[in-house]
Amino acid sequence: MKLKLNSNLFESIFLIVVFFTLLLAGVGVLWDHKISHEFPYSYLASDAFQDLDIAQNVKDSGNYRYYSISGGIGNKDVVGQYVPILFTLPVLFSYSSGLEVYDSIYLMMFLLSSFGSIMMYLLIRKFNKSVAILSLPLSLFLFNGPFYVAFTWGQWGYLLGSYFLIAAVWAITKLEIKYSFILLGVILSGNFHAHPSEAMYIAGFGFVYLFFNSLMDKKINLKAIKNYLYSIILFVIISFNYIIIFKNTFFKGNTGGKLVDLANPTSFGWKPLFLSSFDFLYILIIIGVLISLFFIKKKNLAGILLGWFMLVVGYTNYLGGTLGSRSMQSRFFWPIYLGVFVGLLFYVLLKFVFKKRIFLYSILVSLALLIAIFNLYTDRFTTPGIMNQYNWESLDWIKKNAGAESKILFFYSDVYTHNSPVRQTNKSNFLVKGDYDFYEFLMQNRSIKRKFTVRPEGESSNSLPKRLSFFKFEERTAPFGEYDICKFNYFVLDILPQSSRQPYLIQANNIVRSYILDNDIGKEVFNNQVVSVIKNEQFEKDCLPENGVKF
Amino acid sequence: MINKNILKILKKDLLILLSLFLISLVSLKIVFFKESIFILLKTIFGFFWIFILPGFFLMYFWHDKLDFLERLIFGTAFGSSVIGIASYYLGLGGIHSKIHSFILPPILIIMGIVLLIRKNKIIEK
Repeated sequence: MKLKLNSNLFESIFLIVVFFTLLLAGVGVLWDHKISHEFPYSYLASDAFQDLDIAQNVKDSGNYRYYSISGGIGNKDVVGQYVPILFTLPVLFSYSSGLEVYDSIYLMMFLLSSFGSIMMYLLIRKFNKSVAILSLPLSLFLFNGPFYVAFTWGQWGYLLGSYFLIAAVWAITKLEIKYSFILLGVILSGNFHAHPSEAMYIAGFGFVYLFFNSLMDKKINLKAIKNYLYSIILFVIISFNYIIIFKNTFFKGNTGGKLVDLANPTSFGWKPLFLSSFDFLYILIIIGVLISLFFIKKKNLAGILLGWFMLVVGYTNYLGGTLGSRSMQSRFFWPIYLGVFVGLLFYVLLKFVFKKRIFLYSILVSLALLIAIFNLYTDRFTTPGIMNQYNWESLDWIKKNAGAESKILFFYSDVYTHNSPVRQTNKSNFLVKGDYDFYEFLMQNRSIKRKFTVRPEGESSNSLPKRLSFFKFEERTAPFGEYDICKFNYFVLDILPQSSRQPYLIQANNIVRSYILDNDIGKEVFNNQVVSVIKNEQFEKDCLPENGVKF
Repeated sequence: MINKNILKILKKDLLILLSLFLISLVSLKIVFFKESIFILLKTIFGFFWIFILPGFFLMYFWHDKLDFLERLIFGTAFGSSVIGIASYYLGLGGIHSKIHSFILPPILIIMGIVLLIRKNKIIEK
């Protein structure tokens, strides 16, 4: 049988290869080529556990009306305020796939980001198929150094928002189609429910795109403008409830309500990320940006315009306020946004050298780039991350066995240096950090304090808002300060010094544990050789003398 | 009810989707070679069920304007948006999220087919 190969078949095979190469370079290697785990695997920062806590609570409670008891630090009525579909989607995925929520939410990020790369490809393809093919390999930088932390440190709302952003740009290019306002309105709503800052960018991009096209065509496209305005109306109708929640919680809490604040430019909150993070390839990107100027009068420039737009957005940190606060984050997706400039450069070179069969050479060059970037620039590491099965078991035990109103005191553990893993308990959680006065006092005076500083762990940054009515919200103060050890229901202590980077703190934990057990203050209810959970039998009594006790 | 033209479109698209499902299974087995085929099957099914199929079928409303690849890839974003937001509001309305994954995808898939039939009738007229 004679197999008829055409460019569409080549293209399809190439896209499948790229898609699964992205999965291999990212989650495949990171998760040690397993998809289902016993505990949250490869979670490298607190944010990831915060997202997990919210998603798990959506699954357990069946809705996203409120935060978990953990998130609300004991309050059961803290309004669910952070990006709803980041949590509803993985819960649905968890139910339909049988995966635990901690796996489904993380896997979803990799799958949808890889889709984002293909979406960008389709945007660029309208301009030129070869440029689109040559632009794809840069996406592998998503799994390189400072870019990769968007996944491993849990910047998942941003990743989901960026995925919708590209889809929304595509919908903007379709505004001439009948009822296309439904496409854009719905995708824009998804964008806002996934990460509002990306929805704001895209609203801005829409105006830039329509203005640019009118300028180039020397006529105003009324149909597109009409559909764009309809889509904004549809977006407001669909998103009205969450716009109100967002405005009164995150927008207010994180920015003081200012959209732009020139006096306070945004500084880096994590690993610095610049164009030079692409190594020498940043030179190719800059050359590509310059080359793109020569194509300014061509049709279907959405992919190139998006590249320019997100390059500029990446530098809006100097604007401060809400807009500026998200600029650093927007750079995480540069490997996808800026690939078009590398594609343009190689396309011009291929045209110059070969003249004919550019499409075929584009695929070959792109494959070579894909292999080179995969080998040279992807961080191919496997790690279980912050969590381990022993600490996870203890948290799960507390979740299932402690009463809903229980207050849990976590003594030092390497796992809790990132704070949020304790939220798995879905109780009120409090942390004694390694550098707090409790340990200092214990080491210096050989004494256990009764009252000392603890950190309540929860979503306290937005003042634990309660929704009194549709438009009215009440703020509450997070309960920071000194606490009485006798007023906790459970004590959780890591007890195996060999399992810690700070064995002397674990030895201190063992002293506390022995004292509590030897003096019948509490009863050990869980022990797996790494973690001990003790129930306080003298809850709200004088379990220790006022001035503490020497051991 | 469903004329030959619609059946032809559905048959062709479903065949491609089935091929994609199988390609995904083989490819994921390469990426996650330490994982059992049963878990991979369930994962791919779950992904298609929640992310791919609802959006793909809803995009039938514009099937005469958009090619297959656009409906597949951007349909995923469109469908994710619809299903994610619908699940949020159904939850707020008191329907447990456990039920959403069973009722939302089939409702959206049926809606997509109905839209295709109605659109086809309009085109025929």
